[in-house]
Amino acid sequence: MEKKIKVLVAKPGLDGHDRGAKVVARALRDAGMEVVYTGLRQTPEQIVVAAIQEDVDVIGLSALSGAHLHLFSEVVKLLKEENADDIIVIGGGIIPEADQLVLKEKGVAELFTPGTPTGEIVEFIKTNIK
Amino acid sequence: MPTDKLGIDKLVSGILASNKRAVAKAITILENDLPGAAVLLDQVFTKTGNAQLIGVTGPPGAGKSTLIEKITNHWLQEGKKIGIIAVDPSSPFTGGAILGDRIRMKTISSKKNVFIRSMATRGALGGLSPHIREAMQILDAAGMDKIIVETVGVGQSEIDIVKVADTVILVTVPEAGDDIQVIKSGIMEIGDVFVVNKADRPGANKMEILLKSMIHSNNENLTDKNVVKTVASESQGIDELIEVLDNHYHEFQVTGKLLKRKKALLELMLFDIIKNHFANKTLVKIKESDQFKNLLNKLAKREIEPYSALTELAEENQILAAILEGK
Ligand SMILES: Nc1nc2c(ncn2[C@@H]2O[C@H](COP(=O)(O)OP(=O)(O)O)[C@@H](O)[C@H]2O)c(=O)[nH]1
Ligand SMILES: [Mg+2]
Repeated sequence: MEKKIKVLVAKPGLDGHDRGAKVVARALRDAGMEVVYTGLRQTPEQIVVAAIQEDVDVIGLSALSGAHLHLFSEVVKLLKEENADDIIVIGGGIIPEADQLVLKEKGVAELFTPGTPTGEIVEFIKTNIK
Repeated sequence: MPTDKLGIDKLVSGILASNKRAVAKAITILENDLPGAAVLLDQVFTKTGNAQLIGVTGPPGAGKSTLIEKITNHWLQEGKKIGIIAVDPSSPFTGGAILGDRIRMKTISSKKNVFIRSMATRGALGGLSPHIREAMQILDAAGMDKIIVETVGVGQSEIDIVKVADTVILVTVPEAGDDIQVIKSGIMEIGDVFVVNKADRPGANKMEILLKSMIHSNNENLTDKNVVKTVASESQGIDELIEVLDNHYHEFQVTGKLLKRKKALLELMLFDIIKNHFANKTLVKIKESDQFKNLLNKLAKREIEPYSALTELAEENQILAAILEGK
């Protein structure tokens, strides 16, 4: 049997709505993936603990502004520390181009800006997981 | 994925040392039927049988996840290790799923002595994942004291939980009292402990009385002490629920009922393994055989009748022949 693709969708940080995250979660489900949804207000530590226990292939992080930059890089850093950096990290939200470059350098695989068709995210995941 | 011999050995020692990464990887292998799954199970099996297996079922939104979070918190304070598997439905159309029970388990999800895994039903009808039992065995071997399984909970079909649990908690809400049919539909027999959650809402007492009276008429092994009112979101009634659970389990142990139940669960497990690895594969083999294709062609041309085809098939298969002869 082929392994199902499993994705953790999380919204780090203290503020905000999770509408965007939910839209992505549903799109991934509709593409046949299993999506662990952890809801709002997750710390990078909580996200990494959940990703490891759920043994996901991908972590999808949603941000509302560039203020979430350090949270994204923190997730990547913690994954490395846990020897779990085979898990791909992707992000979405309003992220200025300069910040995108920084994040990619730190190990975020791809960033999707608002308005990206969800099909693109699905395609990216399908082609990039091992 | 470490599915070669060396990889599996490493995984097994990781599981026995309660390493969470190893436990997680092992469950993935079993859940997806990846190579090495059978070896993995056999290697941990002798280390299992020690955990209390608890099933939590009841309608969606009744508060199962919230309740699990609260009882887990209680047991953590007693120094227990808790494994949780939360099952959500797969979409029958896309095969995808949204697994959202972690949202209600935030206060425990990062605790050292807790392991939480979400699983999808993947087409299974009983409200559980097809590989739930294997996943529970990994948690058992990893030294969990309690393994709690949350089922999908959609009416009658969630009764498969009795096939994998020592103790089944049935969670209802006050409003369910208006719809007695829901409770009558065979579900009373599967519960060991009954919770009226959301007791902050009107009708909780009525529901409690109703449950107690139904227990009297349904199950002579139970007493109405096994009905508890809770407000899970406010942590009310949790101590009482724990007491009922502990008493029930203790009684199970001292009367020998637990041993019987565990053996019944093993019987179901062995039977399922035989069914999956033997019956299903045999059927596929038959279906793919030239003889089957020939018979099908003859059948299409009306040259042979269906039951004659069966007899002909059995002539080349000893087990089928024996069954046909009624042995
Ligand atoms: N009023 C009230 N709400 C509750 C209680 N327990 C849980 N809830 C809420 O009910 C909703 C569903 O709870 P959840 O644990 O996800 O239910 P599940 O689908 O059975 O797992 C959540 O919004 C909870 O906060 C309770 O005792 N009283
Ligand atoms: Mg739930």
